[in-house]
Amino acid sequence: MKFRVPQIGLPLLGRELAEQASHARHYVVRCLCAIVMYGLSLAALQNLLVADQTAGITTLGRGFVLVDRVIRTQAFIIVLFLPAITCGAIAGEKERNTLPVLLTTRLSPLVIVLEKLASRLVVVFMLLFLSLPLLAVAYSMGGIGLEDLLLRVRDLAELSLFVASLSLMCSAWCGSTVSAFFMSYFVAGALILGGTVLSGYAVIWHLGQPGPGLVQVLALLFPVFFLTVATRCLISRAYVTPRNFILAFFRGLDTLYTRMNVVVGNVVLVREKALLPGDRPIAWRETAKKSLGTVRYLVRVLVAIELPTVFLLVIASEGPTVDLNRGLGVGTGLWFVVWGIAATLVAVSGASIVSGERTRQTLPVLLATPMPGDEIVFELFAGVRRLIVVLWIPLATIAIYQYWFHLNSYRPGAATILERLVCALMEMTVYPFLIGWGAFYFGTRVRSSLWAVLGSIGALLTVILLPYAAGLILPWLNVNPAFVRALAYVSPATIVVLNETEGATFLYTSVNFAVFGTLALILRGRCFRSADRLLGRSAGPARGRSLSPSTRAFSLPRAPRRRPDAAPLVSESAR
Amino acid sequence: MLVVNIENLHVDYGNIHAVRGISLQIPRGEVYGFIGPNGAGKSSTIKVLATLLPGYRGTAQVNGVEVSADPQQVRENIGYMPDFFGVYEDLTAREYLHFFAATYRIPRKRRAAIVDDVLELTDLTHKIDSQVDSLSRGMKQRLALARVLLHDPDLLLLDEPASGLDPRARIEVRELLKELKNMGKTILISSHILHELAQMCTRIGIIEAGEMVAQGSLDEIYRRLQLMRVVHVQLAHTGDEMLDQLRSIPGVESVDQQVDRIAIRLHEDRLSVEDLHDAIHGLGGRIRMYQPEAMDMETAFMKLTQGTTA
Repeated sequence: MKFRVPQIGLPLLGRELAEQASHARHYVVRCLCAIVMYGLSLAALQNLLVADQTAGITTLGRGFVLVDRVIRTQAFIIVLFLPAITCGAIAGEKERNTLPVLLTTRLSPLVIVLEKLASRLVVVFMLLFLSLPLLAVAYSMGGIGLEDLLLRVRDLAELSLFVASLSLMCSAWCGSTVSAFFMSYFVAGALILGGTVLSGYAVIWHLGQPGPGLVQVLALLFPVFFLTVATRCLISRAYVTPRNFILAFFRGLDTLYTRMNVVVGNVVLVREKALLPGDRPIAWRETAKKSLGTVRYLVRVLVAIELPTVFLLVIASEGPTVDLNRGLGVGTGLWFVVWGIAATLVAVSGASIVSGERTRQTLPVLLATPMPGDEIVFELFAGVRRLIVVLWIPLATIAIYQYWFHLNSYRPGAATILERLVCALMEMTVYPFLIGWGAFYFGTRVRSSLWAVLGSIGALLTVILLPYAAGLILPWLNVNPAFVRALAYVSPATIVVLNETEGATFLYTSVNFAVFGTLALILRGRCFRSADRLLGRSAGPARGRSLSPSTRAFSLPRAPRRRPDAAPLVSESAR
Repeated sequence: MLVVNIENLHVDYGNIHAVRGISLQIPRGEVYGFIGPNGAGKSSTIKVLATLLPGYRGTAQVNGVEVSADPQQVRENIGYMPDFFGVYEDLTAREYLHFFAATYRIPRKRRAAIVDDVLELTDLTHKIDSQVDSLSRGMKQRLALARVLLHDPDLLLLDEPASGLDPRARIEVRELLKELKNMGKTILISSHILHELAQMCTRIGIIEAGEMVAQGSLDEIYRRLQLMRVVHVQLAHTGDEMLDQLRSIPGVESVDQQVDRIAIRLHEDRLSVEDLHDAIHGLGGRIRMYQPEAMDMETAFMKLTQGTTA
């Protein structure tokens, strides 16, 4: 028998790395990560060297501050970006129908999973290597030993392994990349919650905290478990069809509510009629047929946000004496939380409108119809418009609550109570549409749904945080401090924070919302005017000023009438 | 009157020159078959006419209207069926057709009747309340055909309507297309299934690497190709003398002695298959088998194309 030397190769890893290298977006993401990491770390260094006025020998021994900042930033980047780049590893193969071919090769499922894992970890470890100069600076400053430094790097490597293997398991389980992405965070959240509850019980029952050895074992056992599940699912769930988990979740709730409703006598609050589309067919589909567009589901979203909001506000107001600071503190906290949820929901909905149509391959047929481009855009946005209206309710609840509380208190600040309320209402009026139209515009420029959603959220965060980041870096370049302070006002988040703390003046409120309102209108106008080009069809020459799609109301001309001499649509033989 | 007029059409995707100077004209009532290998530029040409590819160069007119000049007017006159169906979650066949009837601005009062008519034509009346995504692929194709008929367009642009269908569904779609042909519709259809196009199309265009290789009626294409007919003959006694006599028949290009037969290549415009039979008989040949090789679209296609892409 002839002995064959086993050939050692990593074909899948090679292909994955080559694919990553051919996509410009990977370089953009890596550059962004590097900018964020170096930006925040240099800001920490600036605090050490300049802000504390301790330049010189007194900075020695404070390298741990810089290390701490670098490691935290890297951990944040790993948690934020690693699921995004990992969740498509196997689910993407399913979407492209390439997984069956991969399974017919000599690569075993375990090898496929491990090579997929390695291809993602390479990216993360490159990011870790990127921080070496920063860690070298920190090490030279002293205050941290080599062993401590290595332990922290090991923790980062373990975190990368944990997140990547978890995302890979979700990718092997789910039928679509988007589902895998959200499932990754859902499972991670459930694990963190479970871990917190367990440690809480451990404290209550005086069981003590787990030792470092046990933590290390768990840190390795979890990835092994995730990878085992991923290997099993690779074949058993290779042909799973993509599911809309939100729709499935709500349908499950439907069934549950229907059973429970029998007890209270079959009460029906919202009866949705099976109407056919009227003169606004796309708006009909967006609001009557899409999972998050229907009244029934929007009511559930509202209940999910409004009930906890009202509950917390009532709790904050309870007590023998009303604690004004506590009440306002809870209101402010809720305002930020609900704003975060609302901004995310609107950004995701707006970004996924056109990219979703492209993914489902329903756009070309729609674009070949005679509907004008601006009308298509106007109607496609109907679902987002309805979502914004629903999100106004919890925001208005908090704003009115705060107004009522302010009436009963004296809170020093630059703004009157009425000015605060006006500012809050302006926030609700302008920002959701700015976010919605911005995300919609972004979604038309990106092919993939996942990248449209991630990109629009990333763009939103960039617009909010960039002025603050510039404020941290510009002092290094000896820029006028007044200009740096003024730069903070460029961020749309500043007025939200200011209105909840010391208050914003009427002038600032007016200028801010005039600027951002104009920006929202410009974005909206651009989406309408360039609708055909953005959607991807021939636009034809401009025909002067026309009515807006909202006022045109699906006007004439109607479809051409059949010619009298035309053959019957249904021929005699067919009848 | 020409329903489609394409002259010197060029389409680029970045650095790829997908369509390179195609010209074709389709009069009213004609069924034009577009044949070519994958990546030849068929779908790109159809997309230009469907107003989905801005930035083309050359002339592309539907009913005399330039696509880039007035795409809105063009959309009123076309029914476009792409080579994919798309995912329509939670939409029944009735809702699907009413949805598109509304996008074509058909008045509400007329929609139900028109939807019933097109469903009857496509034999899908019994599936009117079925979820679109639950239909078989063949039914989806028929539903897509029903959709493009809703506004009674002058021109149907059908991109690979029979691709991926099982034999029964393919025959059903073919019969439906024949029905549309009988109704006088002007149809531009692309397909890989050559013999089906040959049965149905009044004219054929063969495209490769973005260029039109040949177009015309089937007979014209065969004539232009100057295809040699091959006739396989078995004779009771075959000698060298007989072979020489066969070669001397006017119109015979070559005679090849094969293991069990003789392959005679002839110019059919100079010597018909029947005349060759008489000539062999006249030479004293006793014929056991006489089999003219079928000259079909596949032969023409293989002779005209080399399998290259743009």
